[in-house]
Amino acid sequence: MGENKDIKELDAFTKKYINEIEAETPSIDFTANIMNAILKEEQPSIYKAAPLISKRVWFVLAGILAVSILFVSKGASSSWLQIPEIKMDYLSNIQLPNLFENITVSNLMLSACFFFTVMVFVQIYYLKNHFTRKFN
Amino acid sequence: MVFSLALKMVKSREEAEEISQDTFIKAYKNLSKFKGESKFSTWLYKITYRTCLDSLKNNKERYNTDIIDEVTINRIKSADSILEGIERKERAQVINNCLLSLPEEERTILWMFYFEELSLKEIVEVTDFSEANVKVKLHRARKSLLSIVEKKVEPELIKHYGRK
Repeated sequence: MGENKDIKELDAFTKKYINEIEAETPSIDFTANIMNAILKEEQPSIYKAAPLISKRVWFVLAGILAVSILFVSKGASSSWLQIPEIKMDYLSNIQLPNLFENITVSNLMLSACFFFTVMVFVQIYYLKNHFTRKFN
Repeated sequence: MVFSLALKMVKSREEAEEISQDTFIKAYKNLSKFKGESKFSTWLYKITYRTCLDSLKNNKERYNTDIIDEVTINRIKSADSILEGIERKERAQVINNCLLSLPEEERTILWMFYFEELSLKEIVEVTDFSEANVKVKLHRARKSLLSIVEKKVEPELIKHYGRK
C-alpha cells in the first residue's frame, strides 16, 4: 500500500514539473528547409523521361522481324509457306499521265538532296541529345 | 513535437533539427506504408525515435546509470518544497537540465509519457519494448529524476541560504 502511494506521489511530482518545461521550437526556416528537401526528392520522378517505345517492345519487334526474315529467306521454298500469287495485271491497265516526263534531275541534284536528308537526321539526333542534357 | 522529442533524445539543437527534417522526409516517402492501424502521431514518433536511435548509435553516446535509492514520500515532499521555492521559469530550466542528465532511454520515455502525453500502449508501439519493460523503465526514470533533482538543487539551495 505504502509503496503504491509513493509511486503515485512520484508520478504526480514528475508530471507537475515536466509539464512546466516549455516546448522547444525549431529555427524559422525549418519548414522551408523540409519543403525544399521534399521538392528536391520529388523532381527526378516529375521530369523523368520515358521513351514512347520501351526497350522490351523494341526487342519483341526485332525478334518478330528476325523471325520473319528467316522464314522468308529459308522457308520460302517449302511447300507450307507458299504465298498465294496476287494478280497485279490490272495495274498495267491504268493509264496515268506522267507529270514528270519533261523534268530531268541531274546526279548532282540527287546527291545534294540525299546529303540534305542525311544532315537533317543527324541534326535531329544532335538536337535531341542537346536538349536532353540541358533539361536533366 | 517531433522536434522536441528529437531534442530531448539527442540534446543538440542542430542534430535535432536534422533528425526532424529526416523524419518528415521519411514520413512523406513512406506515406503509403501508413495503414492507419495506429494514430498518425504515434507513427511519426516511431520514425523520430528510430532516426534518433540511429544517430545516437553513430555518436556512441552512453551513460552510466546511478544506483537509485528507495523513494519515500519524505524525499518527494522535500524536493517538491525546494522546487516550489524557485521561480517558475528558472524551475523549468532546472528540471530541463536534470532531465537532460538522465540516460537517453529514461529521458525519452519520461518525455513521451509526461510531456507528449503518449499512453503506455503508444510508447510500446514507438519503442518496440514490452509493456512491462516500459513500466519498469518509466518507474526507474522517475526515481532517477528525483535523485538528480535532489543532487542538483539541494547544494544550490544551501549555497543560496548560506549567502543570506
